[in-house]
Amino acid sequence: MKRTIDQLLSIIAFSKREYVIWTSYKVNIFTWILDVLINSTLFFMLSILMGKGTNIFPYGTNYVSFVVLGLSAYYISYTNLGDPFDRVARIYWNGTMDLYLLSPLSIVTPVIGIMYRSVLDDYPRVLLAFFFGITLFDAKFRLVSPLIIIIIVILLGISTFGIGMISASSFFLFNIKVGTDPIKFIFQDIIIALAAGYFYPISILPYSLQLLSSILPHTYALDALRRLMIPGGNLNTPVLPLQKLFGIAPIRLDIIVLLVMSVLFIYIGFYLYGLGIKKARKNGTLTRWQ
Amino acid sequence: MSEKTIIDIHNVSKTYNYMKIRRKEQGPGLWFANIARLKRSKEREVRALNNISFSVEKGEVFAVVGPNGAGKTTLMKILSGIIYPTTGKGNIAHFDIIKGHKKLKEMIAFVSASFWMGLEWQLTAMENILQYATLMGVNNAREKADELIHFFGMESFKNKRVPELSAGMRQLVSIARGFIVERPIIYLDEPFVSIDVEKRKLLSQLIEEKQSEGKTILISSQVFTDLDVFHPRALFLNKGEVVGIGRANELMKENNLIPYEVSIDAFDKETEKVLLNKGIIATPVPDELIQLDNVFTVRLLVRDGMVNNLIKELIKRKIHIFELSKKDLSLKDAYLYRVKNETYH
Repeated sequence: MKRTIDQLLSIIAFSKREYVIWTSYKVNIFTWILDVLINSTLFFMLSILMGKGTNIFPYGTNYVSFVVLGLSAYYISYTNLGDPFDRVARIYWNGTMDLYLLSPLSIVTPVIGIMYRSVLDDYPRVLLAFFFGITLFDAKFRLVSPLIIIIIVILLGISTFGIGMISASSFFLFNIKVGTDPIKFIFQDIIIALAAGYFYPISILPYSLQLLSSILPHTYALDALRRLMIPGGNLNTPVLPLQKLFGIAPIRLDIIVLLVMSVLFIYIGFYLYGLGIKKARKNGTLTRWQ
Repeated sequence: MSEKTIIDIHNVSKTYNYMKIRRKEQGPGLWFANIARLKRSKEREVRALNNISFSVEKGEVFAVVGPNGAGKTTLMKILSGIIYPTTGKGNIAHFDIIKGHKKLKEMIAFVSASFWMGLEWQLTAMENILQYATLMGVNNAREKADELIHFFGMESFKNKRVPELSAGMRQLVSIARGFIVERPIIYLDEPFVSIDVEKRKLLSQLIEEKQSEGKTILISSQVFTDLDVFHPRALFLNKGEVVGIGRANELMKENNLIPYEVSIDAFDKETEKVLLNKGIIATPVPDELIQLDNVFTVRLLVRDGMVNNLIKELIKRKIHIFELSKKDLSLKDAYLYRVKNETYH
């Protein structure tokens, strides 16, 4: 228990530090407000172009609402999946790996702690996307089962962080210390960009890509969130390959798959990251200075 | 391993299998290149330590000395469980250096010269110390940080951010950060680098205080003069090999050598060669001569009974002697005797 509390206190200490660093870049806040506004405007224009008859079944009829949820998942995923590799790189290049390994912290705690800067940077974008969507572009939302919505968002966060840790492990496992790592590139820049369904329903994709989207937590989180939060969303009709295969109520299946993916990706991510650290301890690539 | 032994290392070697970070290549080119290189390669191997064995007793100040690249930092990292040895075994405070590395880190406080690079640049000196204390689970961190800041006279810059600090100030922050952690074993890796004479004295005083509290202290350094105050046993490393272990006097193979400091108006390699060949001095003269107003002060290891011959030889070579004084044997004398002498012969 004390060990867990110590880890949490350390994460808070990291968070405070990251807040100081984040607020030292004064123009940040303006650039990210502008970024979210431009993104929202872009998709609002697209919704005007496609008109009211856009088929986004079973997710209601409001395309802006559909995209606001897509953008929200994108921002969460961008931090949780994309950030661990960059944070491990920062720890390595700043020369702080030695310090953290000498501390009682688990090897993952500093990564989570330092990620707080990206949490500060990206998570408020979710609120901004909702704000602009609702106030400027007529997005509408409903709150059916808020507890389930919260659980789905948490599971999306955990599962994407698991993939992020798998990506971070390549820093030591494959000595990828500069540029993009292969796992993040394959997941984030290829599969997720193409098949996560941020901006269009998965059902419009060719069946092979729908199968590819089945390995992404985003697919299930977005399916459930859109059904629950967009007015007119259908709670019962299956559209995803796995939903059709198992014949379980779509939202129930979404939660089960998200739960399995969360446990699986977190386990694999932590295991591979630990393996990478162990390998680096042996071959001398763990710290920048020997 | 006796009851008093706290560090016990046997035949430890470390070979790095460096995979060069290819900055010019990124993305798929780098991935494929690195995956192709995952197998160990003899060509990329660098032997940092070779067959090191030694032990340290509880409450001892023990020095690890050697020139740049001798393997001192690698040894300290192995002893703290940060990296594993390639071969060999060891116990520290009864914890295995590989299997017990998680427990081992709870026994160690580590102060490193290179750790100032790990300071958080957006934070102040005080914030850096407190941040580290939180991560290390230190109780009463503020109180302890204030004590250390007062001890090292850091009040004037404790609220300054790291970029505003000089190299010496940053080193002091790293030192204070290391000492805020109370552990039975303290490792100091090049702690005297960049700090002025007054602060070096304070650091020596703190080390002596910690020793009197029963803590075991390992200091790695290439600056010998700051270590003599502790009269430590020392491990001499050179190119990853042990050159000798013991106190300064124990490390001399001959027991008839007496250090002298002689102030003269000239000294050259030819004079050094003659003194060595005639058996008057036992080791080459250190490269760094102290020169003040055309007076050179040279430290010589003179064989017992040969001091008159030294004077005669210098006079014969028309070298004017201003002062000649007998000194105590230092770690540097022993180091030069063991390392430089072998190189010379």
